[in-house]
Amino acid sequence: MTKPSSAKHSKNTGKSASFSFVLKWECINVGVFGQGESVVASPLSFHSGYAAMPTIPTDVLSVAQLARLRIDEAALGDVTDRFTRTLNLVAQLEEIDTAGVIPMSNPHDMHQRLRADSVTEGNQREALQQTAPAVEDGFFLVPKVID
Amino acid sequence: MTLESLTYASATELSSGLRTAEISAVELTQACIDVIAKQNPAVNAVITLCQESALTEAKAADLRLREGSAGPLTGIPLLHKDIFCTRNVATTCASKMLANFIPPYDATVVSRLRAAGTVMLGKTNMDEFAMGSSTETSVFGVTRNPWDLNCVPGGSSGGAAAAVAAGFTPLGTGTDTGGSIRQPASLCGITGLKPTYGRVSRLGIIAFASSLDQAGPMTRTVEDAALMLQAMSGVDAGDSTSADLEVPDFSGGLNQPISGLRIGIPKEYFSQNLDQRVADKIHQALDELVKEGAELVDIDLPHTEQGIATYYIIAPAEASTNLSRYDGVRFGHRCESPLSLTDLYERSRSEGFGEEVQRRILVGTYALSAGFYDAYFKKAQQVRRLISEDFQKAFEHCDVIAGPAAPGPAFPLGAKSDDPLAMYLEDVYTLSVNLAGLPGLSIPAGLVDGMPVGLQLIGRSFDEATLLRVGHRFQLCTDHHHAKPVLGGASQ
Repeated sequence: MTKPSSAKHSKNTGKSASFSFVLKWECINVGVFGQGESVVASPLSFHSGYAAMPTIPTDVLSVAQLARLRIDEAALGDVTDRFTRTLNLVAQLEEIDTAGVIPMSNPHDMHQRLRADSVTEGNQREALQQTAPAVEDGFFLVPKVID
Repeated sequence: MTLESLTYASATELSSGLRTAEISAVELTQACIDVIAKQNPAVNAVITLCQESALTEAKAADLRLREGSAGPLTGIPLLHKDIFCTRNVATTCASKMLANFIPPYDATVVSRLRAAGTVMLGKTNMDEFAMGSSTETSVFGVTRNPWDLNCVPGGSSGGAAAAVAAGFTPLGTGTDTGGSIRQPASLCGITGLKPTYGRVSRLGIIAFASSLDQAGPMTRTVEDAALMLQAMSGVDAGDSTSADLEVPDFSGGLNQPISGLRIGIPKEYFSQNLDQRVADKIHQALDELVKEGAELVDIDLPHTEQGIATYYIIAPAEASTNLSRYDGVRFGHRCESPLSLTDLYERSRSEGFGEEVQRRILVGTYALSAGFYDAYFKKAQQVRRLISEDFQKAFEHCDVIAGPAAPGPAFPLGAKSDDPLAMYLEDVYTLSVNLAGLPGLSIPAGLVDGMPVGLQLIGRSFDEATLLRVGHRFQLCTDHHHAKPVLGGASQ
């Protein structure tokens, strides 16, 4: 995970941020217990400050691209509005003092058990591929990736 | 027994009738199928009916009953929420994404209830991928509240709640990530239990938010919930988050008295968000428990309101990760004629997921992105710990916590579907319980203008037994759980 060097948090006052930075953007796979693992990276430009909320349509499109979702142009205004309202709702957490609080990723703070490293399931390729959209000779079919 | 007395009886009563051969499992199953055939077109609680296999299972149950090898749930009909994988039976999560998905395996909850002898009638409607509080986001259309067909049943387990309330089945399974068992149980006037995180295996439950999801029983009585929880609970090698703890005898402890039990009343649960008529019903319910010897204690849960913000970061973040598996390649919806791999991913996901699901994926993706991870996801996980500590401190002064399950009775269809934030408030009294991983029970506490209201009881970790004991005591001294709708209510 790469952190932006100039990132700083301020309360969401609705004021425009006083500076901007180029952010190396990564999407983090939380896994079962929120243990971060970088999986995707693409550079984006964002305005900073805690108020760095994507209030302009291009920003929502950037998030959508990371999520591999395509938003219709006609729906963009509505999607952006609802997205921004949700971020405004969650912004109230900034008010809470969490200095020194250890993040909780599992309600019992438990560690996952490891199972024995042994085969427990036989080959079920046919059963598992019965629900696949397109298969051939036991392989999943996708559009051509390399010419 | 008349058709209505059969389909509105509790599982405990039916079990007794099956053992004395007053009824057969086949007759009971057929009675449920008949009621579903007659009433489901109006309610839309059931989206897959397994008539043939249900009657086959019922015949096998009758055989075990005759042989004397039956358990307490043998021959009892059951509907599963369509989030549980059922071998060779469509499992859609009420999404276009999984419209054609037929799992090759059973969820552990399904296999355990099957092993206990229940008869699977079919699958129930829900909010798409369990994201909602009204069962209005299903690709199969809305489920209607049997008490008033113009109102929502709550959600996301709204189909299960409506089915139990309408007399389709005595037992339903549900899942609860932020209130999805307790809120619909409250709005439909049934009993719904969210067990402690880890009590019930999540294997084969289509994942929404993995650190919050938990499956539980939706029934007419607490007695039935205890029976069902017994069959569902226990460690599972297939779910490394399932708790390796001994499962107590839930039914065995039901009749212990509650005198001297301390019930914590959080003032934050009786704030201006709460409908005053609901507050009155909750206070009347508490009076009943005091008559039984319980003592009321004032407690504080100071981060209750911030629970919504915390939840609406953590749940979408985990959902965005879990739902990344739907890529149109191995299973699920695939778009027509993809031009490239990216086109395949983007169009398959945009076509397959509904609006609310896409909205949460966007928020979750944003909250997990590198520049904002600390400000959103990590911050929310820190507040989550504060919320959990609030409960721990409260439980130093009380044995259970009581309050409403939802801020109001069922609301009209469409009333909140254009305002996601208003919908999110529906879960203000339930989602902190998921964040803390605690058990929560909703039981009927009476009617407000003809619509049900639920009393919520919250327990210590893995102490479902106390919740069930208090709930059962309440149902012994009240008859709210016997109230049943005239199907369609005022609207017909």
